[in-house]
Amino acid sequence: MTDIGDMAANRLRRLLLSDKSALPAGFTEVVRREAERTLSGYMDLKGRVDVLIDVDESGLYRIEIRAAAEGIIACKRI
Amino acid sequence: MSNTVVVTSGKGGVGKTTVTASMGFALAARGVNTLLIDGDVGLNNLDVALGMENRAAYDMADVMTGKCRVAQAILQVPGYPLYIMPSAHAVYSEQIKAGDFRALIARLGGSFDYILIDCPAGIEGGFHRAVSASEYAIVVTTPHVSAVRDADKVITLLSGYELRGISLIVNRVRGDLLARGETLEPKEISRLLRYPLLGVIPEDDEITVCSQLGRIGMAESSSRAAFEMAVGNMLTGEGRIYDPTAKYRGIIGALRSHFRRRA
Repeated sequence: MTDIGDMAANRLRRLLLSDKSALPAGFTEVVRREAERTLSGYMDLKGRVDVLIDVDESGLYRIEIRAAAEGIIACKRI
Repeated sequence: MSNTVVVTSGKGGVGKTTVTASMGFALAARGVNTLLIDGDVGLNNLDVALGMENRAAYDMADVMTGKCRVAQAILQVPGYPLYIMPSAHAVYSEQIKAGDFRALIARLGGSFDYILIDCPAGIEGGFHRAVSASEYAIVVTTPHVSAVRDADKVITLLSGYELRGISLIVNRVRGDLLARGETLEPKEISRLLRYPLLGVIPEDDEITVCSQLGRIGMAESSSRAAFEMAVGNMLTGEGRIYDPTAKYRGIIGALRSHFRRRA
């Protein structure tokens, strides 16, 4: 038999996580630009930097930054 | 110095006023000198729940504007060390400033062991006024997804205040549904909201009836035992939580659950 209480708890868990990950509009874009600006000071970036912000079950924010670089500027200077 | 506790929820209709009044009675029954303050300015109901609505000559606003002395706006519930200060019913909520409210609570602090503030529903100015005057918060929810979600939002806001403690009361829990695994478990709610349970209160028709008659402290049913346990936890940290499933266990319990479902 399906456990309705468990289903409700799972639904609630998803809702609470969704509420917590509802960052202000444009927040992720601001972080993305900052990350791109910082990384481009050290590396020759290839393409766009992507930032993914999520919340795990314990309420911690998980931030994933994805970027590709063709070279490291600091090494070139050396 | 008294302990000032705001009873709040987020979602309306979860039984905040009933919980405030019942906790007050349970505290007073243990001899704890308790004052209940209706923080729901303009939409006051605490006096009605206690059957004191016709006894109030003055209210909170009268004290603040100097129309009466503090003692004149405080009513005693007959037979108990339980007192109530009715809310201002003839003014708009915005007219009662948070600073003035805090000053009033500070003045009253020396005269009572516990002050329970019945917070207005929602997260507007009235919420800030009540919470900013408090040291502890009790968040009331029911085991419904929407109520718990709103409780979570309120808890997020509460974390911005310098409170000494936040705990949860899960109200109106149906033991038959809980025994069959058909409703959210209070312990799971506590785990998801990440705050401790102060109490679990069963759904209780007698509370509804007593509330309508203005005799909320007179209920002699299972909810009374549940409130007594919650108050024990508040005073001594006993950690006893009422089990609403108890009467739905065993053969008799299964029959009771079956007939309740059919009803």
